[in-house]
Amino acid sequence: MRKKLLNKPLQLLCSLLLAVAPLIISDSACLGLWGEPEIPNSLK
Amino acid sequence: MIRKSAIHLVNIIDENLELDRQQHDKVRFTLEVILTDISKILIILFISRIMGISRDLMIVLLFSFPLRINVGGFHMKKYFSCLIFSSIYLFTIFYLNTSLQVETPILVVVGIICGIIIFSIAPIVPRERVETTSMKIKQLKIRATILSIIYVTLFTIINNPYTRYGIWVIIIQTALLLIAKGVKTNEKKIIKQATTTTL
Repeated sequence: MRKKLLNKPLQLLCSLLLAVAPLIISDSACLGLWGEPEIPNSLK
Repeated sequence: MIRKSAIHLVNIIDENLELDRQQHDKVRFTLEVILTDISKILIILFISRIMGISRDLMIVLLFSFPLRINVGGFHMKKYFSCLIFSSIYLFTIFYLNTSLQVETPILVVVGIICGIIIFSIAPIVPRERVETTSMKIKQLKIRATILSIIYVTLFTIINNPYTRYGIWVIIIQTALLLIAKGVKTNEKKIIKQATTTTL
């Protein structure tokens, strides 16, 4: 039951995060501050 | 710690949604980006709140974020070095604006010169990033130049200490961009020399 309740918001959050990931990489020269986490190979 | 938190959060999502390897990496990376930048901003704003300058620093951040995203430049590898550098950058702009009494026409001219420099050398994309296409580079360059024009125009129309931050952001970002460009050119030279000597 709890798992079902969590599924919908998690799916939404996950889709949002998945959509944002390529944008961060390809649509900007870098992040807003002077640090950047390691980019995973699947995104390169 | 941020990486661990991001991994932990992805695992929670993974338990419910069963992501594949690629999705797992993408979600972790985005979470890491959000957590690192938000935590740094919160720390900086907390310190500035104690100093009573949080509104000013928020305005500097508002001017700085869009420009930085489009001009690029170097970045630090560790979380704390980035936090320290970002804090120094933001507080420097605050102190330059409040303590240096530069006349408006001079600031406008310097802002325009820096805008031209940004147009000619931006963006500088870090090596770790994906190969950027010339189309993307053009887009980033245009966006950075338009932002510089907006900041200078805003300052000439509404001349107040807050819009003045925009000009200081352009000046400091240009200086950092020039340093990054110098380092990149030097690295290229060294690599070229090394390959010619091995051949």
